[in-house]
Amino acid sequence: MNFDLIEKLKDKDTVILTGIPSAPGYAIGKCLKYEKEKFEVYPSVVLDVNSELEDFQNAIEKSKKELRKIIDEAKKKIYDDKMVSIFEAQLMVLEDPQLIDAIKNEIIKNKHSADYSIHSEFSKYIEPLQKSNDISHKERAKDIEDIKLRIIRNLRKKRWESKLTQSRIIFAHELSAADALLFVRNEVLAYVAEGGSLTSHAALIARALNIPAVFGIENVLNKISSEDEVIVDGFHGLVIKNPGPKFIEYYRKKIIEYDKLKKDLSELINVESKTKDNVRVKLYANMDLLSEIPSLIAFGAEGIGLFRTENLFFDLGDFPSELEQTEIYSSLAEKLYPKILTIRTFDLGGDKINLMNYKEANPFLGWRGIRVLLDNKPILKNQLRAILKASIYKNVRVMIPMISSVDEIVMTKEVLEEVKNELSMEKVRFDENIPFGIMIEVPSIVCCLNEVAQLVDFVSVGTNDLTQYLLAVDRANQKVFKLYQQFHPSVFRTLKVILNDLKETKIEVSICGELASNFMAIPLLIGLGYRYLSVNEYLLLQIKKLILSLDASECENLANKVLNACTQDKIITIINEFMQKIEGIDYESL
Amino acid sequence: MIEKEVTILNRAGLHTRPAATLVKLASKFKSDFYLMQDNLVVNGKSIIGVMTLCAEQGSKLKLRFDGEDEEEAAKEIVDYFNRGFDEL
Repeated sequence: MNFDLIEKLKDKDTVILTGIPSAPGYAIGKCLKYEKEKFEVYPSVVLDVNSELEDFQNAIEKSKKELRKIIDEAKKKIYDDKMVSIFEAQLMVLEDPQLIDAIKNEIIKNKHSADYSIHSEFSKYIEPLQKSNDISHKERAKDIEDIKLRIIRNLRKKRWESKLTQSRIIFAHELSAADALLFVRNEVLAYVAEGGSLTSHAALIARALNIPAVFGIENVLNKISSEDEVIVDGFHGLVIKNPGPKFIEYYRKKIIEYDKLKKDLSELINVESKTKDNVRVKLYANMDLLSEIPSLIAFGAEGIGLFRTENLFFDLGDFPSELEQTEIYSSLAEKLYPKILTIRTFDLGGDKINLMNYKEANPFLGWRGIRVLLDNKPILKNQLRAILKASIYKNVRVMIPMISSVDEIVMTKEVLEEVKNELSMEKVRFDENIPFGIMIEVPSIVCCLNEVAQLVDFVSVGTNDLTQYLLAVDRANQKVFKLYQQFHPSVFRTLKVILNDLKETKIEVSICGELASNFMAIPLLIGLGYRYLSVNEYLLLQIKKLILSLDASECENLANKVLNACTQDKIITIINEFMQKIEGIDYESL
Repeated sequence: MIEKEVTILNRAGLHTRPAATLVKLASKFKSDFYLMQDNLVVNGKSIIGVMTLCAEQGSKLKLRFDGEDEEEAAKEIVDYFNRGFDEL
């Protein structure tokens, strides 16, 4: 949501909190703080060992009963075995002979209380997992911790209240997978938590159950109180406290439209994306996480226009080896076939993953993208080898980030040739003619497109960085954030130059930045002549719906007007006028 | 006693689902079953133990079977590893 809109809608005491958009959807409602009691456990000695053992056994039985209910619930609501197995493994932990015997021994031999014995035996397993750098191991530690707390709670004969008497938005410090599942029985509206991420088990379950979720808001429990009225926007990762009437009105409309849209859009999956006057606009999807692939296909993307491989570090928790990369790229290429897969080599540095723990004064103007790769040829070569090995289906393309000069293209292509020769010597099969492309995100390369055209098969415009470099504004810097204007005239004039310079070639020119997923910008991009957009998968069908209602010749008139405007305000006014005239689309709803 | 070396083949590695299946398989047999990774040894009949292994794709594990039905246990469990936990 843009800055101006927020300013327009907010009330005097509106507070906007931002986190990680973890499951899509909107909710308006009252908060409920879900605070699990913290069970402090101290070493203590017991006198009656037998009654302690009996209490422990009862707590185990009670916990098993609860988990069996959870598993039944999970099987009814979630069709993904993998998620159900999270709970089945928890039940097995309660029956684990080695663990249970060790706890009993602790009670019998050392006369320790049951809760302390549970705590100390579980810690032997939880602590090493928590120390791991791998995100999936940290998640596993949380699943095991959740079981431990369940037993201790039952030992103290307490209950966690997961029954709601009225619909509420749940605010928690951290949500476990079981929490995310159990609140669904009682009309939970949304989840908000301090901890968690896109890949946490609670997020997976929220997405599977269509409950909006925003995770990773620091200190959120201190910022809201139970019964506060809030809005949760799971698309943008926003939590809006004291929204006031204008915000509520805005989101009420959004909820109604989103519900209708979900129904309408499913019909659009197999419809060809083209304008009313039959101009074909191909829609690719951007891909961040490996788990997105089933939905990418479901949402009807015509291929992956941008696979951000640096995210493999998050998925795998470590530097991916050539073997790991080969398997990942190959399996993706296979699943997508015959659709294309555009693999962008690691874009390290800048605000992204910093592997070498290397700090610099101006990371955005420093060592990032291809600059890092050309200085670390083994990393580049490993990745190119893996990409080439995945190219046997001939649906893989390779794309290079942060190119600022023709030299870098030449040098990268030399490495590519070297790798191809190595693979030929090793008698490994690959696509000899793998399409080679670059990102256009540094303004300097826009001035060299005639030469670029001799060297590449396709280009993709990264509008976020391009805008940042055109305007010399660091988006992450609060002081100058307002100067970062997505609709600055220079952006569209540059986009025009790019297409003009490449017009006489066969080079595919796509846009993969945020602008391509911005409904206000799409008619303009089509008017400028762009025919390939790589967009956020969640918005793909809504974008298709918009394209189907556009007229390319009218878009061209719009583009001509915009190219003559000299400020962002004027451009936005022109686009607003245009959008209001489109039949059947209420653009604010998009 | 039988010892075998196996490689993790599936992309997601020894995650929760295969860990649970492995323990269920092992529990069918009378023989003891241990998994060894570097210096770490875990009881293959203990789910919480198996869950602490950090066995990613490509990593190698040593398996040890010891007991009256060790042959059958080894055959069935090694086969489950070789099928990439049925996720290939």
